[in-house]
Amino acid sequence: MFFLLKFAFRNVLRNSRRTILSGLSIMFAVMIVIYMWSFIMGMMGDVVDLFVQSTSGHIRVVNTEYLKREKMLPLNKNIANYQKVLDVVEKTPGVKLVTPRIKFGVLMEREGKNKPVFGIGIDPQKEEQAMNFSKKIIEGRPIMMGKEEANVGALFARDFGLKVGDTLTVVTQTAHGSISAMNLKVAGIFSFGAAAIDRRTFYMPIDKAQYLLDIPNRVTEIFVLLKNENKAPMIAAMLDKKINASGALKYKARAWQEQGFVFLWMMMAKYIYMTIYAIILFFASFTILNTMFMAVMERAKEIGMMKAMGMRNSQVKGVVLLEAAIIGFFASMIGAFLGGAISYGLSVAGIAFGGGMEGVDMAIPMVMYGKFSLFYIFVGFLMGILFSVLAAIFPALRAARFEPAEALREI
Amino acid sequence: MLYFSLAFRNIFRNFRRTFFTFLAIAFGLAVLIVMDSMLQGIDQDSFKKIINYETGHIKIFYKGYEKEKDDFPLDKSIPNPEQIMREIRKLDEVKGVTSRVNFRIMLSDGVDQLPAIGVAISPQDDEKVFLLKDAVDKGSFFEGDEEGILLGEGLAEDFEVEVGDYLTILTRTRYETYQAMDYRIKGLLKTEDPQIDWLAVVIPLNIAQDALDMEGAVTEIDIRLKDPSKVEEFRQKLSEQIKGVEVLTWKDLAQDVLAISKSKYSFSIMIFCAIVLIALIGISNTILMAAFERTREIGVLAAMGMKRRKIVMMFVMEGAMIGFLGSVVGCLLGSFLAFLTIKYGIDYSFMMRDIGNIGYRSTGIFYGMWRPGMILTAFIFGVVVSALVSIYPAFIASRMEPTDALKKV
Repeated sequence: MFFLLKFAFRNVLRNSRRTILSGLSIMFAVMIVIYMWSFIMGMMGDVVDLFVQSTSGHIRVVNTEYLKREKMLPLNKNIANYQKVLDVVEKTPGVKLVTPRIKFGVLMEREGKNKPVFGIGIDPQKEEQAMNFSKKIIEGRPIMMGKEEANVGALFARDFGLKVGDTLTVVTQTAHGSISAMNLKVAGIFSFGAAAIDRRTFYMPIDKAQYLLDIPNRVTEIFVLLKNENKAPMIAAMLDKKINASGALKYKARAWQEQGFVFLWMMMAKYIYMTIYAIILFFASFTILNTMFMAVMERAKEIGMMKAMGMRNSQVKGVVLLEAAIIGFFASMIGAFLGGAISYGLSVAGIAFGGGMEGVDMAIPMVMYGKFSLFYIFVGFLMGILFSVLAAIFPALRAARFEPAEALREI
Repeated sequence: MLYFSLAFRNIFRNFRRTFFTFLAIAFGLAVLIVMDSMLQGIDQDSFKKIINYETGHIKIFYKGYEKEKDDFPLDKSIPNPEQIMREIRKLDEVKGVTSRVNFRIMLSDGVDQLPAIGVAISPQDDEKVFLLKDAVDKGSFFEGDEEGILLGEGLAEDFEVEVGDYLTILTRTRYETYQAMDYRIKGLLKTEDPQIDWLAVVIPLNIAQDALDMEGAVTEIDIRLKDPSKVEEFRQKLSEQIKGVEVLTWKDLAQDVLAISKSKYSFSIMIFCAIVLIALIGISNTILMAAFERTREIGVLAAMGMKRRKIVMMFVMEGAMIGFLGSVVGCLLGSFLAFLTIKYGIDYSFMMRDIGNIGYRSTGIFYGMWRPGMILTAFIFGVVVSALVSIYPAFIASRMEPTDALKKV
């Protein structure tokens, strides 16, 4: 074995220019795959995190009727005895955190400007754990229970000319259709870094929201985070049974994978990009295939001689594959190093998509960061070697087919 | 010609190698062509819808409206539209003129409500600029000055209403007083422009003007030109002629589409570059190998008096030919894929409504478009760049001394 390795090594170094050129394509391919992968995963991860934190939770429990008209945020289709539901959910194994929320629509009006925005009633202490709420506050402080206060998004504040300490007048319809109003003091300004949220969301204490909307002891949704997000569909099904123990399906627990398009979109993108990575590596491996073929043909005599001296076919194949593996190894190593460096850069600096995304409804971070992960680098590295070796299979088989006598005749 | 036929024969000597080499460049070009077709198709489709349903070719606002247009400031409306429109109608370049009032509304069925946009149009003049009249899918367009609304199909779906049902529009007048009006749905609009289908409640202009205390004012005047390519010159002319207003072209108003398409484009270019880079290394590698493989031949050719320059030429020609084959296959493959996207489109409608407004004016199916210029560019690019990357290995090949090259025989 050691002999074969040494043999392969020497062969690699025999024509260094050719080796470098064929390694170059694998190197670039590995580099590109690693940084593209880490950037796209980072981007999707950020979108999913935002979606989970701001909207779906890992599981969200709502009134069954609410689902039919979710876009309109129907306050009267709420969760009545929500404390009981909270208790049930809290006692379910696998649940990390449970918090109630009230979402309502407001046509916000200030100084002649009209904008539809979302008000969200929250329990600030629970949200602290749910979405690191105080870290998102860029000015002032988080709201407190029992106070008529609000936290507004950074772009919301800009659009309406609000500063910390200003008063935000909220006029809206209660669950029963009458008009109700409240003056909220702006306690702080938050930023999720996503225009769709920062532009049109304000948070207020949930008890005051219940009062404003005339739904005492009721909430519109229960937000659940799990210890393991992948178990969400299973736990959601379990919660459905527990919450509706009385029989009729009144409330519905839905896993984040089943809500909206985010999960679907993510899976689609994942497979599409995986195909692209494979294609890039596939084409890069052609170069190895060509090089190895040529190397094998060039050495017909040598191989014939080796065989005549008793080298077995499997050893001949082994040498060729080892040679490709050696080229693949070094090329992938450099590629992985470069790709890792770029993906590290992307994970720190990010790419700003700028103001163009402000009008977009979907919560997309305005600055996208890559996700630097040793796993991607390692897998990219292994893929580079794997594709190199696979590409050498044909030339290896060809080499094994040389007849000693024929190969030697040419001398 | 000799070099040409030599190079031509050479590429078929090891067809398998040639094949794998040009496959990579073919694939790179195919990706470029189909992505370009898709992205341009989406852009052009969006622009067409913006012009046909939202902006016309030229739009006139009252001074200061544009900056605040997302807030629908009714106090910044054009007080004397008739006078301006009369002036514009006289101009030769103009095909049609109309005026609209856009206003923010909450649409309600008495139980739930959704934010939407009120679009007040002139039933007689609107079709001279816009195509809304043709987009009525169910029910009928306004006849005369009767009350009623046309509703985007997406909104109708949300409220589960049909033609003949009633909805309430909650809004505020120019003087900030609340106003609620019940209207019968006259028709449903299907434009495949999300700004209309998901958001618009269309209402006759005079009814809206009464309800909003507009006193004959409008928020915009829209113009369709006979020759759309002269839009910028006409804008210049109008802005000199009419004072106290902002004159904008549809391009100014389509900025959101341009911004998103730019970021998408850079992403596709990244993938294209990755594939092409690898393809080019492949070509370079193939030529280098061919050069080594033919050491003896080169020696013979050189010994017989072939100039170094010619040897380089021969190999560069070989690279160009591989590029040519790759480009032909790539352009054919790309055109075929582009054809599929043009004919059938890619259907995203199952998730578009969830995603909401992303700037693009499409409610689901994205179509590609033919871009002969791009296909030609891709083709030339494939050939030229393949030739360029062959120069280095060709140079190495030509540096071999005839004696050295022959020594191995």
